[in-house]
Amino acid sequence: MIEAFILLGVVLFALGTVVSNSLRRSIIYMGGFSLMMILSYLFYRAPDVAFAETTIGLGLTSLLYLVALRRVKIYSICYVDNTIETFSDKNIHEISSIFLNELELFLEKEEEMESQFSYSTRPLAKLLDQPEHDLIIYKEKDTLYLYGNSSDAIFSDIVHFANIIVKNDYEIKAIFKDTEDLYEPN
Amino acid sequence: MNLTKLILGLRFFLVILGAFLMIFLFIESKEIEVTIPSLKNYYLNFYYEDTAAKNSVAAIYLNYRVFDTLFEALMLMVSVMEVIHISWGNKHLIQRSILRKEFYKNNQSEVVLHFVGIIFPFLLMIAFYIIINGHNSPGGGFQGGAILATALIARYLIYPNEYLDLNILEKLEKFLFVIILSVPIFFIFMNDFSGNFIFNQIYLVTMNILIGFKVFFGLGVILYRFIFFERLN
Repeated sequence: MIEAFILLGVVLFALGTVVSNSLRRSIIYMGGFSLMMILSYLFYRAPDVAFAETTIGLGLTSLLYLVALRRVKIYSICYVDNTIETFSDKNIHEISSIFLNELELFLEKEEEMESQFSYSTRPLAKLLDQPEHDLIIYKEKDTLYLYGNSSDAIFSDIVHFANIIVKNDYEIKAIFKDTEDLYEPN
Repeated sequence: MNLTKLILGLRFFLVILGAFLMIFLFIESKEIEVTIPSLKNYYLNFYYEDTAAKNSVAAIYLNYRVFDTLFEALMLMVSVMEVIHISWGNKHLIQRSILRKEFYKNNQSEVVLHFVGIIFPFLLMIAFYIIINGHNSPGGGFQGGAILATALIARYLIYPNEYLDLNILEKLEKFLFVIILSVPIFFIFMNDFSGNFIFNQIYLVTMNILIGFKVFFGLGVILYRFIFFERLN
């Protein structure tokens, strides 16, 4: 009976770890998973392994993950271009050399954020509905449209320094998704 | 939206598959264990006379199968070397020595400060108990060393700006590995003291202490490296 409870607990905590939305909650669930593993080791009469699991699995790993979570914050950027059918390495290299490299450096040095890029050829209206991306960049001829939330402090920093980040003579227009205000840095 | 649901379903499926595999392996391994009991019976019947250890696990990993322990120690050392020399190079190490601020208390959470202060001596005590008494009770060098490393992290929570020279820790760990290699060569492989009760016990305690400190240094280097030097850019 106890065995069934312990094994069920292991599976439930594992599910919680994988399915939960927040990473911090995942780490706590993983601590619970370790705890159930310790109980199962004790139940199968392996106290030595239970000790090792306590120190490594419950103590050090959880601590390490919590510290790592405090360090790394990811800022998700999506680049949209409807004129290209599929993105090739050449396209991405071209775009990167114009301004994405500078943007990455800016986020790393000034905001202490890791940047994560994605490239899309889907229509802009569909992407704007999804809340996954913090910043959406849309290029139309010589104009760059930046879409973001007005409550996002990092987005307003990017808009403020956009002229320094983008080296070429692009015209930059920033649009706040929630209030639909248009802002031109020039 | 469909894609996220698909990924969620895939995650569920993988977890349930893993759970079924785990239960299946539990049942299977029980059957395999029953079919060849002779070695297990020998270990369980004669470990106390052979090795003078009351903990049969310690008897196995320090005497019968000491080769495994040696290679495990080697594995930890190699991973420490990888963490120090390959992942980051040496650039962060130099930056750290310049950036040395004085400790001030206001930055810390009061709860963490007081609780770590209360727990710290008990942590050290249980770590040394587990290391020194590892041949008689559950535990041993590895577990005790890991608890000592936890104590090091607790120290980091209180004194985040305290400087610690990782190079010395790494050198000490390598030196301890050489000693760990040489002690079984003189005690076990020479076969001179195999029946001697007191010598066997001295050997077990020595090995546990050596392994404990080696694991402490190794895990300490890895944790400090991850926690300290990642922050600087």
